[in-house]
Amino acid sequence: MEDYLKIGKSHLKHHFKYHLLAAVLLFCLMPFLVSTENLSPRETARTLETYAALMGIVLLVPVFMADQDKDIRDLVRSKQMSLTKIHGIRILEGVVFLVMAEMACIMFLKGCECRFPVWSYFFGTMAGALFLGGMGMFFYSLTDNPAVGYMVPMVYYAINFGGSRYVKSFYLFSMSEGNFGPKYWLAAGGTLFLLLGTLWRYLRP
Amino acid sequence: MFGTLFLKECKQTVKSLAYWAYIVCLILFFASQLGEESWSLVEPQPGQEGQYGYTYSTDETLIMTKTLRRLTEDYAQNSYAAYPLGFYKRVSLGEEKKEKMGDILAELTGKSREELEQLGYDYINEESAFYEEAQKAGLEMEIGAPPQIDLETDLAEGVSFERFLELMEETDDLIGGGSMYAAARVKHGVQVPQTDEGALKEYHDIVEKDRYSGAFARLFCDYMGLMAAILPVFPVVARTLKDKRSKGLPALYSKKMSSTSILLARYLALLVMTVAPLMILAVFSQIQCSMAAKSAGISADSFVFLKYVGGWIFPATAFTVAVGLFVSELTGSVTAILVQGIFWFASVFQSIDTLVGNFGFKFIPRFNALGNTELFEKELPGLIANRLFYGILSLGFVAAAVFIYDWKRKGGEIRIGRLFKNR
Amino acid sequence: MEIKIEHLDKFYGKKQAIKDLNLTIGEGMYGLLGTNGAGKTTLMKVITTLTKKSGGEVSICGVPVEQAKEIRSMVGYLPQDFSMYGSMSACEAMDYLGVLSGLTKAQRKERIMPLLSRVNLKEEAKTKIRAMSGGMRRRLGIAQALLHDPKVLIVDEPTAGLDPEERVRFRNFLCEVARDRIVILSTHIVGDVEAACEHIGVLDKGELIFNGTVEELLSLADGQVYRAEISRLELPKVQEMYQVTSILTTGGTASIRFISEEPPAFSAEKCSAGVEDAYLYLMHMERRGF
Repeated sequence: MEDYLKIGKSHLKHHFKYHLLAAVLLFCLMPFLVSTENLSPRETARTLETYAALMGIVLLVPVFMADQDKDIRDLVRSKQMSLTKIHGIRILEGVVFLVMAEMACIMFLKGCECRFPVWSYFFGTMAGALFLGGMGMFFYSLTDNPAVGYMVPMVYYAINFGGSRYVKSFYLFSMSEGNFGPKYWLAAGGTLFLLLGTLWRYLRP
Repeated sequence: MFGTLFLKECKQTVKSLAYWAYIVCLILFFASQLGEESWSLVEPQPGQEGQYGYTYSTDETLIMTKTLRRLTEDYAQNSYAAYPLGFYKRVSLGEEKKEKMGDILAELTGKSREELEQLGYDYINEESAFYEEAQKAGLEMEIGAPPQIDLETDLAEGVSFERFLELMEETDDLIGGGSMYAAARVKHGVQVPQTDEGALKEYHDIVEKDRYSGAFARLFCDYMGLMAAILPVFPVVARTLKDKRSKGLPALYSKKMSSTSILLARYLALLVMTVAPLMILAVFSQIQCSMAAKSAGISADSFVFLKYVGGWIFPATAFTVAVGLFVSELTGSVTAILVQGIFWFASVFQSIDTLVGNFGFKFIPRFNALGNTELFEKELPGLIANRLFYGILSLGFVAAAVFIYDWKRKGGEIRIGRLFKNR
Repeated sequence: MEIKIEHLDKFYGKKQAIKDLNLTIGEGMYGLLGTNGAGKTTLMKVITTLTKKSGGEVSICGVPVEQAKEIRSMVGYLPQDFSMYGSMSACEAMDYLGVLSGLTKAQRKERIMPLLSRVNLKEEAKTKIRAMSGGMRRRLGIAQALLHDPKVLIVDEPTAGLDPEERVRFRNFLCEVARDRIVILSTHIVGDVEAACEHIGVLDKGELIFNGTVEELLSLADGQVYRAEISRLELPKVQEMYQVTSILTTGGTASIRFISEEPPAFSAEKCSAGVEDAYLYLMHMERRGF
């Protein structure tokens, strides 16, 4: 257990801190970019779905970035602990910080006198974030290319502005239209993406 | 020499995975937003009012009544929409300002302060009743439709349009500027349902002024402009990082070619390669559009898509590629994606509430409407200035990138925000 | 304690990188020679479980390489290009890699500093990896490979890019380390093997073309190495006829060493073979299809 903590801490100190910084920046920009004060449930949902969910891309995509260098990857793989376990720790770390970031957004909105059910909105936002982040992480794993990893979820996000026509059950902005159903699909899809991404790295390191 | 380098850079781009991913993403987005577009237009027949959608009216009485109704609602809630930095924001007024706002409303409606007060109470009562009911019904209701509460307020007799605008200017000052009550914005017009007459005029405008295809070209630019403002950064970053990952930089740096030529060739190659698929999509749409026009017996303007893409989307791509090149040279990492990503999100949010016109200096100008030719022609000079601005800014970023490249080449070092491990 | 390789095959797509390789490596230094692309790195990666083999059996001390976790705890690996996250200091990198090797906190604390001082990096323990020279980085690489006290140490091209002084020091250090474990040293620099290894294997195009002691390798070329002084003008002609293993030119004359199975046509003097001569002879014969 102590070892796992150490690995997480080292990742945080040498790599993840930059991404965390980006998440903090995103959080700080929130009141300037989207409406945050005195919102109705629908408006709150819109802020959370279109903005807070983006944290997923920032925090979950860079799981493999630390061993982007092939030589380092080989060296780490030659050690007793499996690389997959390390990736698992990093994903967990990303998810924990994602929960904290989303919670911070939700608390902020609550503090700005928005009216909304906290827990179900938290779940809904997390579902979208997991899906976007998982998608990016999966495509990063598939292509071993960070640029592609960021590009795919961003395009998916943009496609959702056109409505749910093409994305059906994986529509990102359903909560602000009063429909909670897609959130379960998004959460499941995001988790699946994370698993498949890790599996692919395991099979083709 | 420069030409050879340019071609080699183009080849490098074609060979990169990120470039192909770029093309796939463009096509996916195009298919999802414009894939089902028929590119054809039917002359409206009378008797379809209510089915045309919305248009903008500059009728003074209509502007005054609509705006007043909105203001009364905002007053009752004490919550006003404003766009101080171009971004949507809600503003609540303090006691003193609220009182002044009451005075303005009193003059406009001819109602007494007490009556206005009562209006506010009524609103709050109705609203809370709505939410109480929603709470009983559970979550689905609560995140359902917002309450539709009708506040009957009419313009008092004898208020002229000039006086109205003056009062609106005062209102805007009270809110802190940048609100939707600013006189300039009020004059812009209000959204009203399209009428038979209006629809027909719109149709003739599209056929005559836009020569049919122009209106579609605008729609194309509106959607694809969204992608041109972010996607090109990915192949650019991939290209710069390739240099670094190959660990061959010292060898590259030692060659004779000047930094300006190297980076300029790279910039132009990336620009040409990222614009090319957009152009192909434009030509593809143009052909469909021209054929649709022909079957309607109208001869369309055959080059209007390329013209619009050249003037509208090209500067966006030029800017995105330039920023990507500059930041990735500066940091040697994927930071460029982050920077352009945040700028892109900010720009998308900036224009999310004014999807038609009102270009200003927004990086992503939107004109999400088929037609509205008159409005577009009125705002065209603004769009041209906007695009020139970003075009010139791109040149600045390219120059800065050349400077950085040359600086590193001469042994300078830059160490900020590196996301990748470095050796 | 031995590494046993039987009928090993490795394919990359259609290309066969290792062909039916049989080899047993015992305690001490084992030198693996071969040109670039001969399959050395592939072989090492199979032994360190970084690449899956396509066929055959490989085991270390009776443990098959399929049991990756156990193998990894027995093997220390220094890759060709050792690098670690640039923002880590030497100490941090050692600690991190120690965790990955499954060492307890006490073990790490006990081993890291002595190892760093053994490779002369004690003073640089706090230096960031990105600020280190190639030689320092290589020394850190060997220290991290020894951290979990492995039975087998595998080093890939360890002396490439080191200055002559550092190269000698590095070899000596490896010899010291090899006293109670198996060390496999892969290189294309014959001098490294000559100085340090008792046993040598030569790989060519994925096949093991020689396996034996240094003496055995030398005896292959014995009596076929000649020394001669010729005019510089004759040099191209001689190079065409014989495998020339070294040239030293002074003024208009060149003193050369070359290999010939029969006494040469011009006046030359027989001399004893060095490892370099023998290696070149071996490669020469292989190319001619013997």
